[in-house]
Amino acid sequence: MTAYNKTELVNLLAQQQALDALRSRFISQQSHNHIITAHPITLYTPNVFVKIGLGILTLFIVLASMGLMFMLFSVSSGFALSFAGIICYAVLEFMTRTKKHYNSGVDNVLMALAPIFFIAGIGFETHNAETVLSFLALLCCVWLTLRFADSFFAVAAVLSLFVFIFNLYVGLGEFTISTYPYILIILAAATYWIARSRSTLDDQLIYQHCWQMVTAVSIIALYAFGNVYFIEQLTNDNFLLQKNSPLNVYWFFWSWTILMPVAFLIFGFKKRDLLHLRLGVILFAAGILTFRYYHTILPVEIALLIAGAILIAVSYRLIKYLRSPKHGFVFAPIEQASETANDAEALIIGEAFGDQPAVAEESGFGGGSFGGAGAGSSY
Amino acid sequence: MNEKLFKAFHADGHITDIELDQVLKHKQRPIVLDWDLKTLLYIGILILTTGLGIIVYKNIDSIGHLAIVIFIAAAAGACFAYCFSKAQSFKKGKVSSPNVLFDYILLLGCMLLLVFIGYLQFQYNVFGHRWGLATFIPMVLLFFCAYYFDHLGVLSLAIVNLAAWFGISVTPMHLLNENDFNSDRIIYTGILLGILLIVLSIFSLRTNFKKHFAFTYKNFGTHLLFIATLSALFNFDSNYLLWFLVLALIALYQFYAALQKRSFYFLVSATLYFYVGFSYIINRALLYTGSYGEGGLYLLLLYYIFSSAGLIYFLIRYNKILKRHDSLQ
Repeated sequence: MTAYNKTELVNLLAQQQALDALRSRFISQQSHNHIITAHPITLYTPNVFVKIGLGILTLFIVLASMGLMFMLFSVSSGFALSFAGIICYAVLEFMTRTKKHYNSGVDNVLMALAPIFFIAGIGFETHNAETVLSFLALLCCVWLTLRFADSFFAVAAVLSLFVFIFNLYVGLGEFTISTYPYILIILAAATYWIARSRSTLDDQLIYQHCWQMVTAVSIIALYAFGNVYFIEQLTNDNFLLQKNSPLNVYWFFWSWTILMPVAFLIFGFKKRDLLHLRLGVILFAAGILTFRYYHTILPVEIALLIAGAILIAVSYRLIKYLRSPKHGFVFAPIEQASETANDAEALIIGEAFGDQPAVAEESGFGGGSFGGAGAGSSY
Repeated sequence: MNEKLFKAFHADGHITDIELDQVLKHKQRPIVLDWDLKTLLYIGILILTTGLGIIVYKNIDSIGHLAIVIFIAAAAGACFAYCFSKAQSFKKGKVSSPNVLFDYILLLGCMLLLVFIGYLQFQYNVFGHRWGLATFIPMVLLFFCAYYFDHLGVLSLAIVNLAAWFGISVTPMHLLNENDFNSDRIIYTGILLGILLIVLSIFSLRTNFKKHFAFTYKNFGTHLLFIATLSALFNFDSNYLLWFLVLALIALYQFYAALQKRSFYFLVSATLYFYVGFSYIINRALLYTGSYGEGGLYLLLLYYIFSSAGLIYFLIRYNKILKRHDSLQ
């Protein structure tokens, strides 16, 4: 099924795991070397910066070739675009099978462009065919995931599945307006359950990272499909009728909006699962924002002040509290942050806070002024 | 970690019994929340200060500017007092920070300092029309803090201020948006400042004086120098070939420096910047002169296809050469 030799993909995983174990100081350098030599890889994966460079250049080639093709044959129909997508895919097959490119930038760009061109081309030639297009997208993404074990397309596949089922269901009639969120919730719960149970199976070893990504996306989707704001927007965008709005069952959606994140947090805490904990925190914040969007209880600055104070107090207390391990959690940097991470952090600080306006020439006035006290002019 | 995989390693004799035991036990080890809690703390500080800023802004009439200035000065003073009391003595090499909070408090102090000086200038016009002085003083203070307390983030702020003093924005997002690269003055300043930053980077490496600052200097310097030179190439029409030569020399220097240091990052950026300049020359020759007509467009598209393919081959080749020991420097 995969474009790559399966043993190579397993070896790749083995090398990554060995490196993880070495960094956590579970195994010695010698054992690490043993594992590396026993699991050779011939796949071509360059350094990350070279990867970016190769990606940009591949994009240049594709665009220039398409320009040339369209000019030479003076065609500009959707079918020509779809044809370009098919050619991209053919080149992709060549690069991965013969040249063994794996996440080299070249294959990533081709893999992204092939389905986009193909489906957009068909989209130009058809009208009101969202259901068919989302089904096509689903097929393309599933195929690319299976063939190249790429987690990006696993995520795209789940998203197109949601869109496809939504389109299919609301096409059935007017009764769907008040019920579609439940269908989506059940669907997201199903993808969540499948992905979570599959991610640990032995025969899914080479797709492990794909299933993990699908799990994360399913959690977010599961929450969003019951979130008041999300459902309101989706209903307004798709239906003109307001009287049958699914939000008439407001107690369900409000409790979902507020309580689901808490459930994820508790689950993550019990299972000691970082993914659920992190998403729980983010979704909890989303729940609070949703609530504030509909019910303005406090002026924004007071709300910010309280939220900030609570966050600082809680995180500071936790940092102090978890100095020694408790309940299976600890706050202790095990390994020194790498030089690279420090350099990146410096750059981010310069970008985020170094918002110094440049000095204007001395003669002019205006310009060169500073903002005061952290408040922008938009207030 | 995949237990089955490690059991297989053990069965094949790659890892010892003790090592397998360590790996299998990792599930019982406490989960490290280092990154998560620090991020929450960061966000909390950001939200709190935003709230404070809005409150002050809304109540500026009743609070009064003087009270705010005094408050900011006091807060900055408190931050620096804490830092001076905790800091280790100055060293030429790398100094690790005494505790987790130290770096954040120093950063807060430096930012409050910037706000303080900005406020003084904005409200009381302390420096009058000598705008330069209003950026020169914080710049000197920031450089001092960066070197004394050994903080890369503050160094970054200091470089941004240095550039502001020269009259340009250097942060990545602003580098292209906010600078009017059509102005001669900005182009020449950019080139000068870029060279200065690269020299500073070489200086810190050669003299072993805060060696780990070198990347931050070189990173700002390289991009500024390349973009300023490219702007010169695009704008100074009369002697564009001369500027192309300058660009080629800089790219060549950067390329060999990157090869020597085994840095993929600078190798790729030098290559791509040069490619942009070279493509401009080709574009100009094929299209602007108008002597090729529509054929020029065909030639240009062919040029892009073949040159990109060639460059891909080139990068793959050098990736192989560099592969053994890569670094960012």
